[in-house]
Amino acid sequence: MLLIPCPNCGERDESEFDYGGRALAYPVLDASPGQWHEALHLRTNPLGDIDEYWYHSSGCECWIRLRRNLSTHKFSRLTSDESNT
Amino acid sequence: MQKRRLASGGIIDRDEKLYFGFNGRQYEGYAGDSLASALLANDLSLIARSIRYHRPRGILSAGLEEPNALVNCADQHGVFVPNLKATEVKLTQGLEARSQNCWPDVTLDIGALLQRVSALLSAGFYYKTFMWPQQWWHRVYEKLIRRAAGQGRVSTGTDLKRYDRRNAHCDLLIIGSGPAGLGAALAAVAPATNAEISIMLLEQDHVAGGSTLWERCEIDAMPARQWREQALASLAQKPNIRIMCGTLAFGQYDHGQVRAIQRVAASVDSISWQIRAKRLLLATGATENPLVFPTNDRPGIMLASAVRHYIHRYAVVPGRRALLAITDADEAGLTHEALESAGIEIVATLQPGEHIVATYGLQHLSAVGVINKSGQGRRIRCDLLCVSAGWNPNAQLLAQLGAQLDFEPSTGSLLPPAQAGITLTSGACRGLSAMQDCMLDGRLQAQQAIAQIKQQTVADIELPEIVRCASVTSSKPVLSDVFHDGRGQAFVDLQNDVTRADLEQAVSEGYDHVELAKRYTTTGMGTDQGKTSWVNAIREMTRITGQESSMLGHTTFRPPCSPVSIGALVGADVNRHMAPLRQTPFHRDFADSACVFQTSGDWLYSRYFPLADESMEQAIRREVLAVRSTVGCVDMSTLGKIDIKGGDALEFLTRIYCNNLDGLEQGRLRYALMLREDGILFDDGTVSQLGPQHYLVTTTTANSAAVWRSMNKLAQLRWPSLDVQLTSVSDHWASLAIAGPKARALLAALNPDFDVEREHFPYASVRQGSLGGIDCRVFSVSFSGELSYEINVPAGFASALYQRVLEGGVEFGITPYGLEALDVLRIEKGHLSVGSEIDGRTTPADLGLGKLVSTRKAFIGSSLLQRPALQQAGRLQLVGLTATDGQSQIPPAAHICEQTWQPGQSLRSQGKMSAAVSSPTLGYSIALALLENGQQRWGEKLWAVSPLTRQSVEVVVGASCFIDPDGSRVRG
Repeated sequence: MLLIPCPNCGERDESEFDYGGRALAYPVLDASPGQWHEALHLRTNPLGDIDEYWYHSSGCECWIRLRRNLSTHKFSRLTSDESNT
Repeated sequence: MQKRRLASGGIIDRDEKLYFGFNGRQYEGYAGDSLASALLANDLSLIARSIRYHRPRGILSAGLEEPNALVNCADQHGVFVPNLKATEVKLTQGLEARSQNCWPDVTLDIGALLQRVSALLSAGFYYKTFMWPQQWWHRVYEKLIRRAAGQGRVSTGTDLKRYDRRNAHCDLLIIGSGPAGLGAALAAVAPATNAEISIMLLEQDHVAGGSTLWERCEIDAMPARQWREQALASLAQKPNIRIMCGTLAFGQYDHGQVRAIQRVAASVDSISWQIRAKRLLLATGATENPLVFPTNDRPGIMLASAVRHYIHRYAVVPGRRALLAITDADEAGLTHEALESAGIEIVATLQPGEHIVATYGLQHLSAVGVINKSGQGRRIRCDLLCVSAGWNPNAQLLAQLGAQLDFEPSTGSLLPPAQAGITLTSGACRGLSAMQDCMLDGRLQAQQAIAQIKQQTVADIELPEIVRCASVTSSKPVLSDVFHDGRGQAFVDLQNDVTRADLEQAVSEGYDHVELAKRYTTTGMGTDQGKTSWVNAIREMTRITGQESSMLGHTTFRPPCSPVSIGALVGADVNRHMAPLRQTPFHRDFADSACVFQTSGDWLYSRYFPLADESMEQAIRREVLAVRSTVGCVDMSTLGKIDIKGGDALEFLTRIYCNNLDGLEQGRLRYALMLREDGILFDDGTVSQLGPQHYLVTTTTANSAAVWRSMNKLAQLRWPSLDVQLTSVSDHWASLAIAGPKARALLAALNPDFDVEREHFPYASVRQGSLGGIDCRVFSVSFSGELSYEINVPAGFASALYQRVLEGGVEFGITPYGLEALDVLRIEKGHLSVGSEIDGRTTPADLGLGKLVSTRKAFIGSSLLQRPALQQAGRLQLVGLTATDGQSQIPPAAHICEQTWQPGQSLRSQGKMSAAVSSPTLGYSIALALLENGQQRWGEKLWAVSPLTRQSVEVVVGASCFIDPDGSRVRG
C-alpha cells in the first residue's frame, strides 16, 4: 500500500485516497471531438514516470497532482508550474 | 507417560501438564511444547501421509519450513484450523490434532496403494493421465481426483475465531529475535541519543530468542541462553522498543509497509498488523536444507538443526540410534554434542565419499544403506538420521519487493544483498553462521539503519565479511554430495512429492525455466512455500540443464511467506461490519411507523409502511394510490446536496450541466443533466438559485459522492481561476417530500411564513423561510408526477417535521410511502433512475431529453456528444411498453424481439427492459425499455421475451410517460 504525500496532511496511507486517473492534457471544452477523443481515449503506458491525480477523500478533500514511477512507485515532486494542472 | 522426554533440561514447564488428543487418543505434554515436540515426546513419529503417493511422513524440522507434519487442529472450544504444521502449533490444553491425507487412518491408509502406480503420477500427470476416453472426465476422473486431491479439510461452519486489525508506525522494524535481532535491538536502544527512535521487534515464535533457545553456543563469552535472558531484561527497561512474540511478518509492501499476523493468547484469535517503518531490519535467520537420496522421506529422517532443537529446547529424544549425514563439520560437532547429552547412541557418521543409497523401515526408519567410494555397501541399523546440506537465508520479505537473490554455488544458498531499498539484512539472513558474528552483524546493521533514519552519514561502518554460509568450513559441500543416486524415489520437494525424476522429466519436456518447472511439477508450492526444497531444486535444475546456477535465478517471491488465514486478513470487517450502514434523519420515526427498511447502497432506506397484516404488494398499492388521490410523504434525505457560492458560480454550473441555465432567477430551479466527458449521461438533479451568486444543486442518491468528487476536481484542478466555493450539505438537511393533489393544502397547514398559492409559488421554484418556526427550504419539484414539495429542514428537526406532517395531514389522509412506491410512481411517470435508464451508455437524446441539451454553449461532454457513434440510427431509445391484451404481466428484465421465443431458439434482441411494474393507478402492467430507434416506433407491436421465465408477451410501443403527459398535475 502506497504512502501518498498530501500537501496539506503530509504522507498518508493510500486507503485515505481515491485514485483520480492520469493527469491528462485536457482540451478546451469546445475543442473538436477528434481532439477530445485523442486526449481522453488514447493513452501511453510508459515504463517510468507518469503524472496522475489523487483525491484525499477521507482527509482534506484536496485534489493533488503527483508524479509516480510505475515500476518503483516512487513519488517525485512537481514544479509549481507543472502542478498547475 | 512421555517415553521420550529427558528428566531435565529444555525450556518447558514440567509442572504444567497439558493434555491433548492426536487421532482420537489422549497424550500429555508440557507447557512450552510445540505440538511436534509433544508428539515426539510421546514416541509418535508417523504424523501424516504425503499428498500424492500417501507415503508415511514424520517430522523433518522444528519450524515454519516443515513440509511433512501437516495436521488439522481443533482447540478446546472446537475451533478448527486445517493445514497446520505440527511444528508451528503451540501446545495448548485440550488441543485435538488429526493427521492429514489419510483414510481410514494414518497407519492404515488406503491411498498408500497409489505408490504402486507411481509411474502414472509423474510430473504433469494431471495434464496427461486423465485425457482418454473424453467422456470419462466428468463421469469418473474428476470425481476420483476430487476425492484424492487437496490437503486438509475445510470447515463448513461459521468461523468462530475473532479477528482484528491494527496499525502501527515505527522508525526501525526488526524482524526476528535471534542473536542478530536481539543484537540489533540492543544496539538500537543503547545510545541515549536514540531515545526518540521508535523500534518494534517481531518474533514469529511465541518465545523470543531464536536459535539461542536451542543452540549450545556462546555469545559475548557466556552461554547463548544466558545472553538472551540478559538481552531481554535490558530491552524490557527501554520505553522506545516494543517486542511482539507470536507475530509472523508475512509480507513487505510498498513504501515501508509490513503486514504481520499476531496470534493472541489461546491461538484462535489473531490480529492483523499493518506496520509502516522507515527502515526494516531482517534478522530472520536461515533454513537448513535436507539431503536428497533415495527414499529420503521416512519418519526418523530429520534436519540436524531440528534434532538439536528438540533435544535442547524441548528435552525430547527424537531417536535411540543416530546416523549423521551432515556436510558441515562445525554443525556435525554441535549435533554430536547434542546427541551425546541426550544419551543417543551415534552409530555412524557419513564420511566424505560415502553415499546413502536406500533407507528401510515400514512406518519408521529402521536402517540406512550406504555405499563408499569403492562401491562397497553396508546397511546401518538406526532410527534417527540427522541430515544437513547447508543453510539458506530467510530473505523472503526482501525478495517480495523484487530484489534479486544471488545463488552462491559454494554455499548452495540464495544470498540477499546487505541492503535493498529500506530493507537491511543481518546475521544468518545474509549468510553468516556463527552466533557471535550474527550478533555483531545485527548490531552494526542496526547502527547503519538508525544513521539512515536520522539521515546522518555513517562513517563507513564495516560489515563483517560473509565468511561462510554455515555449511562451509574446511570441507565445502560439492553439489554431488547433496544428491545420492540409487533405486527408489529421491524427493526434492517433500510436501508436493516431487522427485528428482520429476524435475528431469519436466526439463526434458521443455519446462527448463524455474518458473515453468515450478508450475509443471508443483515444486515449492504449498504451505511450506518450498522453504526446504527450493535450493535443492535449483541445484538439481543446474545439474540437469547444465546452466550456471546464477543464470537460473529463482521464482518470484510473493506474500505471504508462510500461510495466513483469509479470516485474519479480512479482520472484523464481516457481515454488518463490512461497510457502514447509513440511516436517514427520519429513521427512528419511521421505525415507530412500523416501516420495513431495505438497504440501498450505503443507506438503510424506508421500503414500505405496512398497516396491520398487509402484504408488501398491498402496502405498495395503497401508498401509490394515496399519492395519486390525496397526499403521501417520502424521505428524500439521501439525495446529494451541494451548496455553490461565488462570483463565478453560474459560470461553473453552466460548464458542468448541459442545460441552458441563462434564464434562471432567484427563487427558481431547473431540472438539469450532467454528462461525462465522453458525452454519456452521468447524473440528473436540480439546480436552484437561492440568492445572488448562491446556488444549491441536488444529485441522485447513487451518484452523490461521485458528483461531489467530480465537481471538486473541476473546481480545484481544471478551473482554479473560477471564483466558486463548494460545500457538501447532503447530511445537513433532512428532506421530506409531500406529494399528491392535497400537497399544497398540507403545506399551507404547516404554517409557512411564505405564500404557497400556485401563482406565488409555482412549479420549479424554491422558497426559504420557516414552517411553524422551523427553518426550511421548500422545493416545488416532483419525482412522482403529482403536485409535490420537497421540504428541507436542518437534520435535527427531521422528527419535528415528520410529526407535524403526519398531524397536519390527518384530514387529507396523509400516507407515508417508501422506496417501492416511489419507484412505481416514477415508472408510471417515466422519470429516470440511475442504474436503470441512466446506465452509463445512454445520452440525453436516447432518453428523450435531447431538447434539454443546450446548443449555444460548451460544457463537459458537449464535444464528444457530437461524435458519430452517438448520432447513429439504431441507438437504444427510451420507450414505454404496455401489453396488447391489456392484462398480461410483462415479465421483468425481458428482451424486446420481433417474435415469440421457444426454448432452444435463438432470437435477435432489439432492446431490453429497464423497469417493469404492475401499475396500481392504471390497473395494468407497464414497462420502460431501451429499444432500437424506439422513438420512431410508437404503435409498433413487439414481443417482450424472457427466457428466464419462459414467457413471451406481446407489447405495444409508446411514450415512456404513462401518467399526465402534459404535466398539468405537477402544477396542481
